[in-house]
Amino acid sequence: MASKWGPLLPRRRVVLRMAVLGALVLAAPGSVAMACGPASAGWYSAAQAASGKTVFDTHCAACHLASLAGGAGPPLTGPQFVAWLQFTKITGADLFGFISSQMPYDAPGSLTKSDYEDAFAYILQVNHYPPGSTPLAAGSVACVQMLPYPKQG
Amino acid sequence: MKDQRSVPGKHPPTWRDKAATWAGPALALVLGIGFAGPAALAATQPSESGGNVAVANSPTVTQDVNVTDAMLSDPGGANWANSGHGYMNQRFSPLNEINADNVTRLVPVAIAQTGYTASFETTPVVVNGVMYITTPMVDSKQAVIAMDAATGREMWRYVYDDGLNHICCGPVNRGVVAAYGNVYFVTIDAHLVALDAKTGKVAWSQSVADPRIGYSETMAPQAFDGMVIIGSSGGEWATRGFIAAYNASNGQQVWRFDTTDPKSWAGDSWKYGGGGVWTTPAIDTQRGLVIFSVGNPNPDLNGRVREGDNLYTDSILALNAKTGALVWAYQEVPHDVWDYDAVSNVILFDTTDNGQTVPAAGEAGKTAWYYIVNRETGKLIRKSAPFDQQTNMFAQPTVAGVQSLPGANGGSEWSPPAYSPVTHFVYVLGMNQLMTFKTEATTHSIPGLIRLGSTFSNVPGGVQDGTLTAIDVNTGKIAWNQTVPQPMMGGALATAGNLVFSGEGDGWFDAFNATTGKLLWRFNLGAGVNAPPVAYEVNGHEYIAVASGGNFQMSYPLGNALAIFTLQQ
Repeated sequence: MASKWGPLLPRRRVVLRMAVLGALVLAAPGSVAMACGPASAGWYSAAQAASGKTVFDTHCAACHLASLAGGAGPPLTGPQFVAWLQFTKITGADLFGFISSQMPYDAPGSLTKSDYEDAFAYILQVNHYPPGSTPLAAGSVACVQMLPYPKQG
Repeated sequence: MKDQRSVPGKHPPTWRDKAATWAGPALALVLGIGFAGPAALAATQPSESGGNVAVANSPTVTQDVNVTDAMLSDPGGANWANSGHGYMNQRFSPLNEINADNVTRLVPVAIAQTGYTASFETTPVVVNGVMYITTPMVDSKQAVIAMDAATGREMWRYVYDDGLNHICCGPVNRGVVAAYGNVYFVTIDAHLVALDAKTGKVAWSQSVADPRIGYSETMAPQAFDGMVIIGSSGGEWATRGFIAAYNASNGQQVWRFDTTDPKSWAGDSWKYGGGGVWTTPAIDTQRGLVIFSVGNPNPDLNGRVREGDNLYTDSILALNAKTGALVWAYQEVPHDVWDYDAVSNVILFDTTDNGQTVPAAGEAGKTAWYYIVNRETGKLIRKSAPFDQQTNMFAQPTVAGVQSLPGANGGSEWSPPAYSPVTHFVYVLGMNQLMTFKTEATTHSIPGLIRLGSTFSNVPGGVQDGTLTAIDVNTGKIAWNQTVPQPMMGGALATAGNLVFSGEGDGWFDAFNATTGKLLWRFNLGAGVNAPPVAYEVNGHEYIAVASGGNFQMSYPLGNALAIFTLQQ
């Protein structure tokens, strides 16, 4: 399970592996694995998602649409996105790694780190992953779990 | 599975905006021509329905639209029944009513809007005055539309609802084949569908691959000997490419050929090695061969996880049409790490080799060489002179990145070239895009996620232009070359009127003198003309048609128009 995407630095890989291991070994009903909070505590801040909307509308919406419903690029919300999450069982770290190394389509890896984090926070927000008090950052991306997909509305 | 519900009143999201800002209709009205657009359709069509239904409009199809292999092999001037106009894929029309002397009198007679605004790559197919086109996928729907080929008036429309799917290179579809009373087309969610050519009703629908792991379908199918032949898209995912034949009357698979040969791949990398078959195969009826090009190995840019030549990626292949067994192969780029794949349509023609006339097959490579091989043996006869710039080509990608020409789109991308048996020139669309190619230390795959193995991207300020090149197949020399401001993507049409038609990303639809390359006529359709033009005849007059809907991959302005031209009477 080595890391896939360029921007995941070796040190972060260790963090990710520990987090996964922690989740597998230590997580029990009602308990919290290591430094990662539960989904309900939020993995990003609302302010960060607001900045992320600007990033998304500028660099991502041309293909994924401002609604995230998908156009020339795949949908990032809605039933097809959920089906894709369930099929791939992709982790937050992998999804973020993919976005930050491969997107935008015509200029991969060209945004700043914080722009990628903000845009990812916005995608989480649109999909009703709850916000918290701390912005998503390099150290906490590995905490993000895409599944279970949150209840909508 | 697909959503079977009907969605009354639901429109593709953007056509209203586009129609309002588009110069084409206004110009068409000024010229006093027929104009069939969404506004006109609204009167005859109850709703933009979804749910896999055919919506019949008047007039209905009364023409004989039953196409035989003989018509597919030689459609003559009147028809254009399969994507390449005949099994040789030459895209050459024997019509000459429209010619180099009078093309300046060409006028549009209809500009029909489909309502599906996205990358529009369809080759219109025409049978006895009925035109069949496919739209791109918009809002998880894609349509097949039958219209009057002389007026653009819609006759029926079939709307397909795509299930879970992966879009590689735009939500595109490249058209139908008309055969055996049906029209056949493929879907982004990897289905092959047969529709009754008169009514648009589904004859059968067949799942051909698992769209969840990255298979998709975009090509115009071929039909031959009672079979429908298609290849797989999705070589940017960790999938194994294939080409397969299906019984045209019921959709049952007849044969299947997987394009990766385990013997030339390290470990089990062949299982996920790409090798899509993106474009319509040619058929050598005399030798019973299906001849086509195979796309890139996967991951595109990281070769360390797939040591070996990676046969049969980046190759021209010939299979036995009855059995699907390999007859010969020619690999253009062994162990590709640049996405320099063989993707444009293979064309069949005769050429000279050591003074002898020999049957040949040609393919326009992303490497900017036109490859010509012997059709009986697969042996290379010649590579053309480069039709685009080659700088630092084949430099190994690094983690930091190397700059090379051609870029990852070529040279020639999927754009089908045309061949004229009059000039013996092949007309190739190309481009110069300076790109940075990177690789990465480790690549592994998540099923269902695109796997490039790092990135390729345009160099800011680097060269970006397009080319249309005439290559003499008997010498490999460049006969003429036109450079245009934007990378070329779409297709070419050659005619016996000494004309070559092609389109540009900024909306220009051009006619060139086939012998000299001189630009003779042009018409701006607003959206990018990034689809192959066709020629056909209705009531004794020649028509030219082309789709204009732009291109996502090149960021060309989008639209949804099918334009039909003829000579001013």
